[in-house]
Amino acid sequence: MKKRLTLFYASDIHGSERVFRKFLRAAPHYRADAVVFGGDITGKALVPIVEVGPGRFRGELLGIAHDVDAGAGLDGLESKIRTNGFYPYRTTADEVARMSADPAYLRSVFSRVMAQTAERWVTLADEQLRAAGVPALMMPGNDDEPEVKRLLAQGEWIVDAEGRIVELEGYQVASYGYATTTPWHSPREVTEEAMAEALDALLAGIDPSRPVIFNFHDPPNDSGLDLAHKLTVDLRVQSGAGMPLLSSVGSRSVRAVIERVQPVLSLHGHIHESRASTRIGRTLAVNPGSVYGEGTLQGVLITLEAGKVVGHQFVSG
Amino acid sequence: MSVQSTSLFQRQATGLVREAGTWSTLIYNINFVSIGLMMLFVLQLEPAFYPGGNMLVSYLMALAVVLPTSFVFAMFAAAMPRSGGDYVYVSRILGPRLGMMSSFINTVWWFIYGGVPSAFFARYGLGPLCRNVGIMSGNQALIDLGAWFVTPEGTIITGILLVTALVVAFSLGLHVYFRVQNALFVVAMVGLAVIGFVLLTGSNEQFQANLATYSGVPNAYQDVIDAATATGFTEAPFSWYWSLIPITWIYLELVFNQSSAYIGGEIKRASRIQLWSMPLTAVICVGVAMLLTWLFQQTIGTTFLGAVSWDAGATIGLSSAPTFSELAAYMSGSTIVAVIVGIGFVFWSYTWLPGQILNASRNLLAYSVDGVFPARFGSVNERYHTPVFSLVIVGLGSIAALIVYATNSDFTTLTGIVAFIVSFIIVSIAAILFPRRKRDVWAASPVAWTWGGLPVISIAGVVSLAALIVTLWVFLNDPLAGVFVLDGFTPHFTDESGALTKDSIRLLITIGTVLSGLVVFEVSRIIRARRGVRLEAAFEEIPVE
Repeated sequence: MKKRLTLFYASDIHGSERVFRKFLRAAPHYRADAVVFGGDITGKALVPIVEVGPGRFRGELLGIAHDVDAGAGLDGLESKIRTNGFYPYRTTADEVARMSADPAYLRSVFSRVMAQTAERWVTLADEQLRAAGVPALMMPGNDDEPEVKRLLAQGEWIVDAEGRIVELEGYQVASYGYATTTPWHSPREVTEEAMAEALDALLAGIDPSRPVIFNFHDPPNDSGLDLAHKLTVDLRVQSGAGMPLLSSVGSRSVRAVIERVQPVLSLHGHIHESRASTRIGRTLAVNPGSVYGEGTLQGVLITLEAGKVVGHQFVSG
Repeated sequence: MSVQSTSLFQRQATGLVREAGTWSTLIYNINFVSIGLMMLFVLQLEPAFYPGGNMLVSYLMALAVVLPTSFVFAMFAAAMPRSGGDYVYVSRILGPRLGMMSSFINTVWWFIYGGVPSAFFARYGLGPLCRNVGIMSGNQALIDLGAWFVTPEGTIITGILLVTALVVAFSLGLHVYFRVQNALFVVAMVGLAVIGFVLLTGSNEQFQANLATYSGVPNAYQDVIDAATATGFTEAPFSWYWSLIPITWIYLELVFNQSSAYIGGEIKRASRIQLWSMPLTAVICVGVAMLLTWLFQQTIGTTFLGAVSWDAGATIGLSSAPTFSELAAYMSGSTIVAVIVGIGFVFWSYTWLPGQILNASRNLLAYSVDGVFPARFGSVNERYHTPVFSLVIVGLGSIAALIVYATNSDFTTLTGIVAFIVSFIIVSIAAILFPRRKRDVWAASPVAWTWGGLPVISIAGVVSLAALIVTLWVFLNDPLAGVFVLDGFTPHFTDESGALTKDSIRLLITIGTVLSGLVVFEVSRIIRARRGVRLEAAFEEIPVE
């Protein structure tokens, strides 16, 4: 076991190229020994850039129409779109009309764009993290299509850690990226019962005599790491007197296994607005939150010594 | 989630919520601007103590200096919707030290100002309500109770109960509180509407007659004016200067119009509800206040409004100047109206307090998460999901401030606003530098507008900075602000004996609170460094290339 291990953990990058690139540089920047990614790598929205003439393109970003020429102008517009965590998509007016009218076709476009981006990112991560000599454990989250897991598994340096126990400098890291049911019916959701079964199966392989780290996308219920905006049935944030109402939406199964196994550290994401840490028994549980849409990488640095957490620091880089 | 438009397609993914509507966003912000208190101060103070001041002009001047800062906050909220306020804006753009300084100013004064609205609750809310209803219904017990509320003892006990009730309610969860608060907000707005109706349908003669009846003084209206004039009350021709100086009392409420900065959605939108709701809140609040103030002037008369405040209600048998809701109730001649407008004003009297307690406890939690404060401040109760420890600390601070405010006249209402202005100045500087320091974030934001080749947010920052400097000058020139150290541009920090004036001492204390954030950050940085943690790293941007 390494005498002192500093981990950098982040999750919920959601397609923001700028934030992903920061993640790749986080270890040397913060002098961390390894990086762990907690899921949800793919974006949620796509901005069509329509070719309106030879070498001439038009895209609308946040209500502002942009007419640009191929080359630097187009690259700049795509960069702005990616900074917001959206996918730029070069297309035609006819295809935009089809995407509007045909949900199945829109899904296929999304899948293709997400896969292309994820594949490119895996290559980028392999190159940069290998060059820096930084071990990297990755996994998909509940918002990632199943295809993303296959692409992460193709990484030559990065490790798709989901669904197994991975050794990291003497620590056993158990990872699981699914979440319990949400109002949005995202691609990788399970019931509490299925979550409990999956975690039990995963943790059957740990050696109880050695320290364990959980890397579960879904945070534990009633932990302060799982406070999400309370929503109406039409998905509006419920507020009162100027403040959003919050409710606990984490997984009861995740909490149960933390209480039972008592890992030294439990890493979580999923609930972007619930940046917090807490103790559950002897376990330090953390959720660094996410503001990917602002081009900022939220993460947490955790220092471990002799099988124990000796310090942690939230960062916004 | 289905397709939204042909310019942005979304897929089914968690967290994609719909934005709050324009109307509900407006209500959130109006909640934080107490229209009632704003009118109370203007009607009680300007005609009495700022001769030559024109209340309607003052409202417009205050709006003019508030709007630029409002736009700065609104644009930041549109560009960084999930960040939740100036702490993060300033930290990212100007660095963590200035971020902490700017934010800590607010936190310190939210603590201190916890004492002000909790005192107002009895002094301007329950006291006048009981007194007014008691007088109009002939109930001596209610009159006595009203008199007790406005004593230091009554103010402190009532305020402690209010602070305790709010801390307990917030610790148990916000749901019940919000339902009550929303209902009270409706009552308060109905109260203002009733006052408007009473003024529209009433007359000066009716008011004079009713005032004579309820006070038991046959010629009460003229007697009040005569008594005030005999003791120095005076009126003067219109003065731009004396219309400008009392904007301090309007600024005190109007500047808190940006609460919706904290409720942004995850996906930035083109609709820009955030952008317009904040300045629109200021415009609506000023509009309502101007209309009602004008009606008071037309029916009751500006001279009487000034005289009755100068006279502090003595001639008509009151222990303090009547509030405008009491005057409206007299005009109506109806005890039911007195109850409605009085209860409505109870809401306005303390409406800042819940937000102050919540904002201060939320800031303590944020400092803790970033490692500036001990972890204890960031602990969230697992059962109730609330930061109970931080809430209790804020509650105790508010109670301490209440006791000082209620018993020591040296703690003036307006002093701390000077510190808030410094915080807003730092935010304005951050706005000016935002497009330069965070070019990518600005360029990719929904407010990446330019005007004459310059970023609009930078222009707004410059205008806001200028407006804030003017406002700061006004505060330092206001004899009632508690930091009266300027006469035009001539400083007067000492009295005839050469000793520092109380106003100068208050200003020094305020400057101390401004610098306290820097001290807190440095102390924390040193402590954390000894444990091998670099606190500065918390806000260092990772270079992308």
